Amino acid sequence: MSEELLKAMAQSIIDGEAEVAMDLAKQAIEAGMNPLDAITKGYMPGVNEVGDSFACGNVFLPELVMAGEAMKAAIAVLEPELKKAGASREILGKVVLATVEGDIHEIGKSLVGTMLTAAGFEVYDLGVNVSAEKIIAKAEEVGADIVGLSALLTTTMVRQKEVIEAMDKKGLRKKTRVMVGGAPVTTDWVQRIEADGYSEDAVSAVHMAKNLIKGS
Amino acid sequence: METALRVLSDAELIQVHERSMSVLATTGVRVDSAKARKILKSAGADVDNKTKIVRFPRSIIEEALRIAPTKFSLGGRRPGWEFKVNDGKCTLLADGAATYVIDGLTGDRRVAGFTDWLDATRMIDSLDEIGVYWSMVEPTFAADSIGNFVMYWRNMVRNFSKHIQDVTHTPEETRWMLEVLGTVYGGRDEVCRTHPMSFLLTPASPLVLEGPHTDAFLETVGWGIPAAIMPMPMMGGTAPATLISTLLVANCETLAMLCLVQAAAPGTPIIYAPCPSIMDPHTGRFTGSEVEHGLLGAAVTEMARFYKLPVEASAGSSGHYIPGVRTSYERAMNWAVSILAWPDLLVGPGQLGGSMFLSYEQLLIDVEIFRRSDRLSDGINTGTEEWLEVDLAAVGPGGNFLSRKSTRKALRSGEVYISDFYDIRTYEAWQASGKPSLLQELNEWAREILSTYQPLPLDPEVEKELEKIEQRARKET
Repeated sequence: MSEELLKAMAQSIIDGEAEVAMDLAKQAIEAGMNPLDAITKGYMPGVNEVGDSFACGNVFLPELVMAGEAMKAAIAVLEPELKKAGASREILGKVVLATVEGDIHEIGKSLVGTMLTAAGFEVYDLGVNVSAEKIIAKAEEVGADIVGLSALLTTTMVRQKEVIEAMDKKGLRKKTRVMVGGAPVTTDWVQRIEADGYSEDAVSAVHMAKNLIKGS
Repeated sequence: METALRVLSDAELIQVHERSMSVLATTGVRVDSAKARKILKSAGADVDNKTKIVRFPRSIIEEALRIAPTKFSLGGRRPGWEFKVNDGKCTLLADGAATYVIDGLTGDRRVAGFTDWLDATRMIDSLDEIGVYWSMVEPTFAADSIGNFVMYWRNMVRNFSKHIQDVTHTPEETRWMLEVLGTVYGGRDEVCRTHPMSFLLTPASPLVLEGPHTDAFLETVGWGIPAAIMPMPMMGGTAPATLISTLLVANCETLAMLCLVQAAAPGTPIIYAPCPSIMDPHTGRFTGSEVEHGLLGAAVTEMARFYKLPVEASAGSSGHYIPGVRTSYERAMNWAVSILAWPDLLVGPGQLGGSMFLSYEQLLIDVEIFRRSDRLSDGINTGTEEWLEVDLAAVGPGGNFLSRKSTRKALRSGEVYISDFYDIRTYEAWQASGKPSLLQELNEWAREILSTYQPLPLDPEVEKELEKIEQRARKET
């Protein structure tokens, strides 16, 4: 195993260079490196370093996002090789994310998606203006541990409640926890609609998701 | 002379305009409303209904700018209250849509409900410096049903008698709102003539005119309701990561909406109100703390003046949660810079925590900051009577000016702003009274206003009519 290659992998994450991360993943495969080693000994130390620096305030959110994107790019190359070898990386949980129907605001939800992916969750981002039916169908299809619902407007916030009620009816709440977010969401609202958690920003959303997984 | 500040040169303003023309003609804007796309197509825009992308030839934009009125007044129901735009005056517009109310003394927050909304509405009605209403807390109670929406409007016009700026979410809400406006302000023609309400239109950044609110506004056509166009691109998040490119995005979105409004109802009054902002690099949230919000508020004002349009400027907020040292220096710096560029309206006093927390103490501090900034904009008076050389000669070397009539006259003229916040007591007297902090005093002051202020009542006949409208709304919807 090339120590130099592993170091370069970590550095590509720290630098947020998705193309470099992808090229290094290809080099690793060509060199016969175990793809799981590439992830855990190459890229993950980079993710951890960026995460620690972010927690200290030394790394900005866009830099964290770029690191997350670089990690995603590397995994996209390595995951098929892992599957071929009959192995899999450790996944913290499966999360289906969407901005609710009638709402086209995207950035908060996408940030949460990137943060969760970088932290080790498998994220299915359904985009914006997504109906309750589509969200629930995807959650059932992938066996989601968490459904994340974003809404920026008071008029669309009510859709979070509708999705939760529909999940209740289908008996999905025992397996699947619901996280909500968006500017008008308050602690009162979370209690009223009986969501399992909420956070005020993307970074806290990762802690919340980890707690929900631990508690389930 | 009056104090004036520039953050962009004439050549730079022209660049923002010319580059906007280019972005709107090439990249274009996504227009989600089919009705809006149809209107824009009729006006000569290049519309792709599959992608919903609309591209704007220069001629449409220039025509829209040409026919948008530059002089008009914002009205209210308070007798004698009128705010003329483009008239060298500035008034405050209350900040909006907080989800919590924070107690400045304890730091405890509570979720804002109907009573908080009512209190905040009365509070801003009581303060002369605040000319324009926004819902200071998110009126979640109005979103449940059309009946509650009408109840919200009924209480709004009952408790606030200056100019209202608000939004509806659907054409149905707009129709009920127009009925309330017609009832309170004397019918459609009077609403058209006096502009008691302006409609807040907020394109979604980057470069999207979203559907529901656009359709809701288009339902007002025929009522002459001014459109305040306020996209909120966030530097590094929903806009590219430089100040000037964020301003460029904001200008493009504003011009696109302006074209739609003018194509739908030529001659509709426009308030140029883009709110470019800065993403907090640590969390991705809007906090409004950055000093560059002052520069952006001034830049927006300068762009509006370039177009000869009235302007509603925003100059950030504060990311801190309780009123105090940090919130005050952040607000004071950002507002002073923005006000010295001379906007018509300035957003917005009273909120903290990235405009998610309402604070009454901060509201009073902000009014004070506004008064002081407004005074700065008046500058130094250099009229012939101001030099007082006669007094100087009369007193001569070594004397004093305490008993001169000119001294009394000057002190009463307002040339030096005398603040209500000044404590004229000696240290001993202040100590003897329990060493109260300014925050404690503001807290008491706010409580006093809330417990004693009586808004201007509506005519009893109007009250009866509004009650009937609300009952009908509850029955029919």
